[in-house]
This record gives sequence, structure tokens and C-alpha cells, in this order.
Amino acid sequence: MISITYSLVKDKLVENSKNGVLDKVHATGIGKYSDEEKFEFYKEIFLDELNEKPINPSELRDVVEKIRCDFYSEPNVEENTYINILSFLSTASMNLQAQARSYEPEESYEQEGFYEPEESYEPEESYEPEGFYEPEESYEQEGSHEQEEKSSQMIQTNNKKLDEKEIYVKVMKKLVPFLKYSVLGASVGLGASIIIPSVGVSMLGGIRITYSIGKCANKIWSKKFLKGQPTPIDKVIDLGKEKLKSFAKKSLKDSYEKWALKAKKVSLFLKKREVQWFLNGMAAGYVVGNYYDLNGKIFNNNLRSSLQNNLNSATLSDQNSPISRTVNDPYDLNVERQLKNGPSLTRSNKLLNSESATNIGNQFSTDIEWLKTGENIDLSMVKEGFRDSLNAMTNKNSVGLLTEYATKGNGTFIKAFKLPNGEMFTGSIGDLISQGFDPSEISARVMNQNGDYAWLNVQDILNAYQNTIGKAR
Amino acid sequence: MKDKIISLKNGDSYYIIDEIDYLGKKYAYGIPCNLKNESLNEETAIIMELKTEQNQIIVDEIYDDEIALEVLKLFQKKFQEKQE
Repeated sequence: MISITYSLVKDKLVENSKNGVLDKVHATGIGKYSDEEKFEFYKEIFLDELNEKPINPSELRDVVEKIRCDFYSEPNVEENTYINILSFLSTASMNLQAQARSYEPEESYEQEGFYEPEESYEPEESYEPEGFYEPEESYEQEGSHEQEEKSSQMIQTNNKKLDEKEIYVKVMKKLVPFLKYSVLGASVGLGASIIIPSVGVSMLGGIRITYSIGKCANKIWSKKFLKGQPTPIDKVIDLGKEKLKSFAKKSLKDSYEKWALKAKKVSLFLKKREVQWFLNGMAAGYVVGNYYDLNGKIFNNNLRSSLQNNLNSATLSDQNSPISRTVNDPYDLNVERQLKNGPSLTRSNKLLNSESATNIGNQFSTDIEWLKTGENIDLSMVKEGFRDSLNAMTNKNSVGLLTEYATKGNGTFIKAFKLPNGEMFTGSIGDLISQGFDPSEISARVMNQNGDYAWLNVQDILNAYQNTIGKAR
Repeated sequence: MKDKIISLKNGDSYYIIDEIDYLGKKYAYGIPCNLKNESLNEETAIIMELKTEQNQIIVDEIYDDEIALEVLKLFQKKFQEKQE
């Protein structure tokens, strides 16, 4: 049974090192430990947290969030921890695969396509050393007797080690093929998070299932058979039992058995461990990618570096201006200069924008009283917007779609952030940076349910919101 | 609808294997059939939503993939129960 493999993994490999590895990881970070220890830790996460239960994107998000919190609470955590997880899993699976091959070279377990798990996995009987040979009482000296006992103990130890290694390799041989799919899925998911960063987890579920049904069944359709047009039934034909029998004689035999088999085929495919590993990995990679994009340090670094040039150029260009010399730079740690200059409200627009954009990554707040996340706003009055380059490739009329959805009052959601200087910012900051927009020019992003989105002027959004509130009252 | 053939206004016909109710909606599991030849396309199966509009029974596609999968699982469970 698979559960035997599962328990073997947990008993032999995870439980023994669980506490120790976890303590070490939490104490000083994952990067300083051996590959074997790291692998135990990650394997535990993937086995226990992801693969034990059916896929549920929301649960998965919680799991990854927990992992994220664990790692980000580490003071010495590596900057690209999540990337390391994926790359390490990939490397570890390859190494273990090679290790297993070298141990039993005559047996090849590499399969083409999906690996068919065996119905049962019963490990060979563990080595049970036979009873010690008890030498008959002899006239030999005691010293030689002790020496013989020592040698038999060594034999026993060696055999025990060999036995553990054998079990380890056997377990790994079962585990590694699945791990490959997990890593593959994680890579795909991570890639998806980069390519389509704006879709939500629910969209991910759609991607998963579309993949699943399309891959395995490709002959069970839940859409496209009507070409998107609901069609009335013209007539219902009741053939009657007798007629139905004759009708069915030609091709429909044992209908329930046949359709049960067809449905079962789909279900079995989805239940296959490698598929689950792949989908789990994909979902994990996707969620990790998104979290990483939103919360990771690279994001902040990219944000700063992308805006550093603007900041520098603004400062240099205003060097001759008497106003700019009295600017109270919040990043200037010189207290005397701060006190001398005093608070200044006159700044160049460019510098103001650059500074506020620099603050986005660290100091944004969602606590805004009169503009809440998820508000439906009638945006019909906003006629023009800026399409982003990614969306423009797939949908040339995203602004029109946006207006249509917004007018109907469904599907439009807005995220609002308030900057320290009081400026309002709506939309996803991560997308703002990933798309390479200049925050000083475009400052609002709105997305509908279909994932079509447009960039709008933030003042237009606020005007539309006030207009909507006015109508509602 | 069960064990009956529905003929749509677009000319398609489906033999309805079974129906279920899920989340307040009715779904059917059918296979395309050709009334003229009295033959069934056993290689293809369709999961569809049945609803009423203006005193008509409308066949619609299931646009939500997650619902489609849940419906498929329910059908599978039902088929297995019948098989047993």
C-alpha cells in the first residue's frame, strides 16, 4: 500500500530528524545545513502539508503563508529562500535518483510518461540478525572470546546500516518519481506566477482543473460544446424501455458500467499521486511566486533600484535650486541638518513622486476609511485608461471590458493604499513594478473578474467613487 | 430527462445518462447521439447545466471549471453506486 511507503518515509526519515532539523532551521536559517537535513525538512513540508489532503487552493495558500512566515521570521534567512527551495528539491531529487541507481544498477525504475504506482508496496523483511553463535565452552582464553564477540557485533552493525540504507533507497525510489512531478509542477507554477501575476488563487484552480480534464479525458466536455451559447431544448424524446433497448443494442451496452468507467478514468487520473504532486507543486510554486513577488526582498530591491535613477536625477537637477537645498530628506540621518532645515512643504514634483514611490514598498497602508478594498464602483465615467503591455497582447479592448463590468457593478475590485504623504494609490504595487510603469504618470490599476485590467488616473477613480456614493445616498 | 434523448434547437442531440442537483442547479451527464443513425458517440461525454428560462428548458455550458469537476465527481460516485 502507498500508506506503507508513506509511513516508512515518516517513521524512518522524517520523524527521526523532525525535531532536530526544525529546531536548527528555526534557530539559524536553512542555508547552513547539509543537503540531507534540508531535504528532510522540505520533504516533510511537501509530504505532510501538501500531499496528505486533497488540493484546496485556500488551504494551500495558508500552508505556504505559514512557510513564508517561518522563513521570514528568520533573521539570517537567505534572500532567495523560495527559489532555493525549488532548486534544491530539483537537485535533491536528481541526486537521490542517481544514488538509488548506483545502489541497484540492474534495476531500472525510470518510466516513460507518468509513473504507475504499484498497488502495494511491501518492503522486504528487515534484516533480523540470527542469534549469536554461542561458542561452546572451551579452553580458549577469555581474550579471544571477547574478540569474537566484538567481531560479531561489528557484523551486526554493518548489516543494520546496510539494511537502513536499503530501506532508505527503496523509499526514495518510490518517492523520487513523485518528487520530480512536484518540482516540475512547482517550476510551472512559479513560472505562471511570473507570467500571469494578476490572477487570483481561484483562477489557479481553473488552470489546474482545465489541465486535468484536458489532459486525461479530453473527451469529457463541460464547455465549448455549445460554443458559449445557451441553447433551448427543442424536444425530449422518450424512446421507452423497449425502444431504448433496441436503440442501445447497437452501441450502448451496460451503460452505467461504461460511463462509470469513463468517469472513473478521470477521477483516477486526478487521484494519481504524481498528478497530485504535480498539481500541488504547481499551486505551491504559483502561490510562493506571488508571495515572493509581493513580499520578498527582491521586490523591494527592484523597486528601489528602478526608482533610484529618478531620485538621483531629480536631486541633481535641483541642486541649484534654493528650494531643493532646504528639502528635509527623511532618509537623512543627520539630526542637526534636519533641525536646521526644518520641515519643508515645497518640493519638486518629480522628487515628491520618487520619494512617495520609494515608500510604497515599505510603508503603504490599507487602512483607508472611505475607500475600501472590494468596493464596487461605477467607472462608466472613466473613459480612458492605459492598457498595460501584457494585457494588450491578449486583449485589445481591456478598457472597454473594464468599463462594461464596472457599469454593471459587479466584478470590479479595487485595492487602495495610502502613502505617508497622503497620496492615494490604488492597484497592485507588484504589478506596477513588474510592468515597468512610472508611478508618477499612472497611478491606478483596476481589474475585473476576468483578469482584464487597465491603468487609470487615481483622481478619476476617486471622482467615480464619490459619484457612486452620491448616487447610492 | 434521465434515459431520454434531448434534441436541441441547434440540431444537436444528447442521450441523458443521468441527472444530479448540485448547489441548487441541475446538471446532466449526456453523450452525443445521432437520431438518424440511431447511434451514440460513446467516445465523448458532455456535462451540461439544465435551467429554465421563459418556460423553456435551456442547456448551458458549465463555465466554472471547479463546479464542473465537482459535478463530474458526483456523477462518478453515482455511477459507481449503481454499478455496485
